[in-house]
Amino acid sequence: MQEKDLIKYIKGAAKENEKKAVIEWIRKDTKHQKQFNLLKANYVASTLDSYDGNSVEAQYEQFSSKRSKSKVYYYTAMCSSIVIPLIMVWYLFSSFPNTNFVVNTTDFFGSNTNEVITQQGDHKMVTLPDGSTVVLNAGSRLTYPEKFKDNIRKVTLVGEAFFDIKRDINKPFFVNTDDINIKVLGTSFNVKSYPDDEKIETTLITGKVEIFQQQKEQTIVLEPSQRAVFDREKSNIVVDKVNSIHIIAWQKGKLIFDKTPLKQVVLDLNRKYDVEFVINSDSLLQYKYTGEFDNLTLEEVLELLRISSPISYEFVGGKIMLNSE
Amino acid sequence: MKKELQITNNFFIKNINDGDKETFKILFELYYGKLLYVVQCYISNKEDAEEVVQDVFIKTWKKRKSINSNINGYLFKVTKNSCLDYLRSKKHKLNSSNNVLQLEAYINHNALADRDTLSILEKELEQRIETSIELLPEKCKKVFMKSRIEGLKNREISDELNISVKTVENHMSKAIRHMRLHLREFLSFF
Repeated sequence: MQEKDLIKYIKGAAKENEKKAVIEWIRKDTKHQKQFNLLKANYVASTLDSYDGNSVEAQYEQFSSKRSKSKVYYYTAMCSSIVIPLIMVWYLFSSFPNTNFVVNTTDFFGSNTNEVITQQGDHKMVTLPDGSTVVLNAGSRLTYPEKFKDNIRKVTLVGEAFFDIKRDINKPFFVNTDDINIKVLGTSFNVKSYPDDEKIETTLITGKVEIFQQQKEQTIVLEPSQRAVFDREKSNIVVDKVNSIHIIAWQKGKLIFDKTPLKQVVLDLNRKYDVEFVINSDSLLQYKYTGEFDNLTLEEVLELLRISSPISYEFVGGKIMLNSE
Repeated sequence: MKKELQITNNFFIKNINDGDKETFKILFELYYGKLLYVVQCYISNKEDAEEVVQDVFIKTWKKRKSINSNINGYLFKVTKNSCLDYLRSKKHKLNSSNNVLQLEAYINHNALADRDTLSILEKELEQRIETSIELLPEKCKKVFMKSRIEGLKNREISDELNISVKTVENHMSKAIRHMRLHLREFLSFF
């Protein structure tokens, strides 16, 4: 290997195939690695002043706020270590009925886990121990430890939730669902994984996520505005491009459908309005609905469905029967 | 070590031990760009490189009371170790989704762990910081030295050098700006 090729690689000017050749050469022999080390150190030393210095002020601000934050955390930790036991004692001794939606249990390993459950038609916002936030959609359950372990942040989700995860390169964040696991460092994304849905959908809003299918080695990396749809029956993942604003519109009370099978539409309506639907026609099972319900009442939704699609409805014994017109 | 740098080093150590935020800011301004450049040469992901350097300063701030040797050596060592930790751990793998990036991380890790060659870099860093201070225009430098190294108040400097407090302040900000500016003046040898 000629020195000029090595330097070209070190400068980052090598093409993809040249890169591979250099890397292979370096790995072949420890002497080669040594030669690379020396050249690289010399190159970096000679170009040490390459940073343009423009954002030092901004970087200092960032450092400064981190520095004061670590103090705040310290005080918060001090305070909570006093306040939380007090609350627990109060909780134990009061005969207050159990309306607290955070259920505290002790898992197999003895560390405390919290569980947040939402009823049909309900949303809840949860702040995790690391300051990340999760908005839980209706009929969902989120389980997370009271304190994350040193090297990993892990939560379990049944249902749908929007995650906004604080970046921490030292502690990857995992969301486990029935069939797939999701790994991120810090990003925002939406996961829809209801047991009665045929599919599990993961949509990335910002950053980067990695999706693991259980019992399979292969992983999928998503770019922003990409959605990974896991089909429970076929046990495969298909990635498509979506309008991510539509995906997270549920947080604002909106339901947006884009060529969504009616079967899926009624499942979403059932969670939001806590009412059961029955589809009475085979042709409707195949029907795909496109439309937007922006904070509508159930009656308004049904009217809109009737007007905008070949669907009629009637109430029978507390259920809503859907028929084709 | 030249006398000037020796003074600077002692000054930094003492003030940093005392938790003086102003001194720490100077230290940050002097070193941030250079350390970030070094880190970026060994860690390809820009965001992660920035985070590593931020962490270096957080760590240094937390350990400020126990730093008692050469500040240049200390910062360099923390930076190097943070890079090694990063490259060794699994966490960077998420950002290196293809094989080439993982192999690069491997050879860069070896390069950083090589003490002999890395000392070249450490010495060069020390010299460049020294130059940063030397390159200040004479008057600015005098004010800068009096303020930051002898620890005089602006009022005292204005009395001693017979210039107004406003001028002292101007020289100070000019000195700091100058340090930042000159970082761009070098051309690479390659």
